[in-house]
Amino acid sequence: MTVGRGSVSPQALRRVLGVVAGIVLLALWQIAGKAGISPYLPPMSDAVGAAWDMVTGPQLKADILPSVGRALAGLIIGCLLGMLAGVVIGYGRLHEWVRPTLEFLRSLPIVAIAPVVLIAFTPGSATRVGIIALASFWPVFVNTEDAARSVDERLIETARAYGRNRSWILFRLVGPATLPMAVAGARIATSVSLLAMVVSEFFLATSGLGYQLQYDARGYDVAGMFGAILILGIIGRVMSGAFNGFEHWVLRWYLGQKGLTQ
Amino acid sequence: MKSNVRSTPGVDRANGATLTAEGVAKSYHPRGGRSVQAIGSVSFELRAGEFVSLVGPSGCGKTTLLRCLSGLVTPSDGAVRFDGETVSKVPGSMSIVFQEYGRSLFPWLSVERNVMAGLPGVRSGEGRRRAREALEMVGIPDFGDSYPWQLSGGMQQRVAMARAIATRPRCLLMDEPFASVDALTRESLEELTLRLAGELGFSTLLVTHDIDEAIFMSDRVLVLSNRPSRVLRSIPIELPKPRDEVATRAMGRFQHYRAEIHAMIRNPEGAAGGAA
Amino acid sequence: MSTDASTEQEALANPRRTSRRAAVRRYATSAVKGLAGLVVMVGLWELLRRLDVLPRSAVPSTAATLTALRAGLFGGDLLSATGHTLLAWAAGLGLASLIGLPLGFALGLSRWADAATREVVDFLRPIPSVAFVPVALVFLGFGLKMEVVLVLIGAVWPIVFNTRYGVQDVDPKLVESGQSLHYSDWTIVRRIKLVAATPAILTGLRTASAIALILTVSAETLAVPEGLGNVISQSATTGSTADAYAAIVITGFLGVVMNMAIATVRTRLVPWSTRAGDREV
Repeated sequence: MTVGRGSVSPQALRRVLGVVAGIVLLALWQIAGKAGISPYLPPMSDAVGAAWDMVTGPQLKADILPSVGRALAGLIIGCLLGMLAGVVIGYGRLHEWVRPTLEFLRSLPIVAIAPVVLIAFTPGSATRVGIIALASFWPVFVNTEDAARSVDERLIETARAYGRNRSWILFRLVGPATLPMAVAGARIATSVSLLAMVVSEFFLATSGLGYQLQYDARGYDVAGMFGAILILGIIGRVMSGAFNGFEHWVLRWYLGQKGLTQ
Repeated sequence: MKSNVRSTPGVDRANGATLTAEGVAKSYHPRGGRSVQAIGSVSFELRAGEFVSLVGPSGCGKTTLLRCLSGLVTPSDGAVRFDGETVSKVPGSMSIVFQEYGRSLFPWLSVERNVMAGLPGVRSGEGRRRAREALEMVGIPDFGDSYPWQLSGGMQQRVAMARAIATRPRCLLMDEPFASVDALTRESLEELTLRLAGELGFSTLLVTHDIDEAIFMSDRVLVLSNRPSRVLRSIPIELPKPRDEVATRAMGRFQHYRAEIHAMIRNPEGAAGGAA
Repeated sequence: MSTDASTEQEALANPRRTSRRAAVRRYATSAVKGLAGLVVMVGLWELLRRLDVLPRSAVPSTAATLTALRAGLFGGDLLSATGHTLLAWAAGLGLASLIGLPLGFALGLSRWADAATREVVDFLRPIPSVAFVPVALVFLGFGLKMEVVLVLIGAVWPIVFNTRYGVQDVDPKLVESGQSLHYSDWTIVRRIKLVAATPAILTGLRTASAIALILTVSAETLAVPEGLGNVISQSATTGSTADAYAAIVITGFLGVVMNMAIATVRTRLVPWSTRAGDREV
């Protein structure tokens, strides 16, 4: 995209546009809120105020940090298990056997099975981490399995020709080969984990960011509710940024190969 | 200089169109880089009913030139005329056969429908008849209901040729059409092309990297220089017709042409200048 | 001396008939294996339950679930709940297609329109659709309308993106072919681009369909007095776990059926597309 006279890079322009769009949206929100368009839409300033209170008050230690901790734990566990299962099932050509079962399980919304799981296993932190891990598992597993199935046969044959055993092939060849796809799945899992975190705290909870969200919703404390959503958005953004860094580190070799490193 | 006698008497020479290039030039300006001049200045004339091949070193812009000549791409300079009219898009009585048959045939249409694809406004009954006729001419009459991806490479290229001739073009452009098939199939397709040109009387311009093929098929061979390309020499090919894959290629004169063109391509600066 | 076309004909004698028979056999083997896998999973479930790894009090047995399933479908409220979920799903998906398909085409065909909307689209895209549930709830209250709008918001994105990708990704050689056949620009769009984009569009529909199901059930769990999600949450809270699990089974089953349906449509409609068209955007 050429831009008139200057030598503005499209990258910079995008970022500026993004920021401008964000500012415009916030301004609109404030105006709409103050104008009282809907009793359910508080002015932005109120939401920001509520968010600020949450972050600077006792809620940081009591609700926010534990929630984020659970989200991260669940995410990591889910990703690791997803990759492991993906490699084993994909390479082991078990795809056809597990497909209907997996399709079935995949179609179950977290929101629906969270309450069921929480009732089955006592509704504590561990169960919630489990729910988050379950949700994070899927995107990573699906991608990894797909990649494991399509690993170039020639690479495997070459490894066999050099006398490598099955476990070496599985963990030192197929695994790394599936990394790009797995990481793509992990990226999706990052946003899913946040979601699962919120959902897991909707039911039978006494603390946490998700608990706060539904508590405020029930009490029609819209400022508090939107404040919580703001915090969630920021957490999401931070996690996304951290993930980018992680991706660059893990996929150094891949991005270089594809000419994408800068 | 004896003129070549066509084997099929009475073919309407007036059926073939003329295609002229006058100082055609083409340059590209990739973003942020220097501009690349693919074609320097090319001028030549394809006469009615003639079979001309374009050869040259790799990367000399042969394919770009063909795309300029066909109207798919606009030249940066110069003009292309088809029967005297300036070319701005692909002329109605010109057909093109591409190298990548797998990507130029429509995969969602059957072979028959693919051949019909170039016959707009023709009632479907009439269209199917002409398609079947074309398929027969190219030697695959029973495959109308198959799909391109079910056929071998050589057969797919036959379908592409059937599609090209179904409209009874007066000029056929071919862009390395046989580069992606095996040697035996290539010979069979070369003979097919010559037969069709003879029977239907269209003028043909063939772009190829295969020098032997160029000599075998043509009345004249144009040798292009390196980029930015221009015509180094126009070489009339005086070999008897009908051409035979074995006999013609074994002739002394064939070897002579081959040596001459090879030398020119390997050492383009040392070649004598001169346009067609 | 040269190879005749007839030799090639012999080599490819009746390709279609043999490949169809092979395809049916492959499909059957696949189905059997899948079913076997499913049975193994259910068996594992039962085993874990008997061993109390899965707490016996809170997790119903296979038998209990099946009984609840049957009771709910014949004469119970599972049938109407399923109907409601399907209705919301269909309405939402239909609307999403109605809006998403033309939008996707427009963005794919017009470079200008695509560039102009890039920013906004890239900003909204990474937001997981379920995050809109509370927002939708707040503005539209409880009920079907909120559900359908939610599905619309969530399902429209994969449709738009995959359609756009499909149109933009058409092999330029196909377009060139059209030009060499003297097609006008509009004819090229109509006869080539739209058709070539179909596999990608179907992939988008498949993703959208899965998202739509998840959103309907999620919305029902939280804020809609009808539908499968509602049955799940109600049954769970009142302790009739067998009913809850029965509803879960139906939900999963719907997901599988939808996926298979679209996959079949794809095989029928675009048998010529290779796996390349499977890429999800």
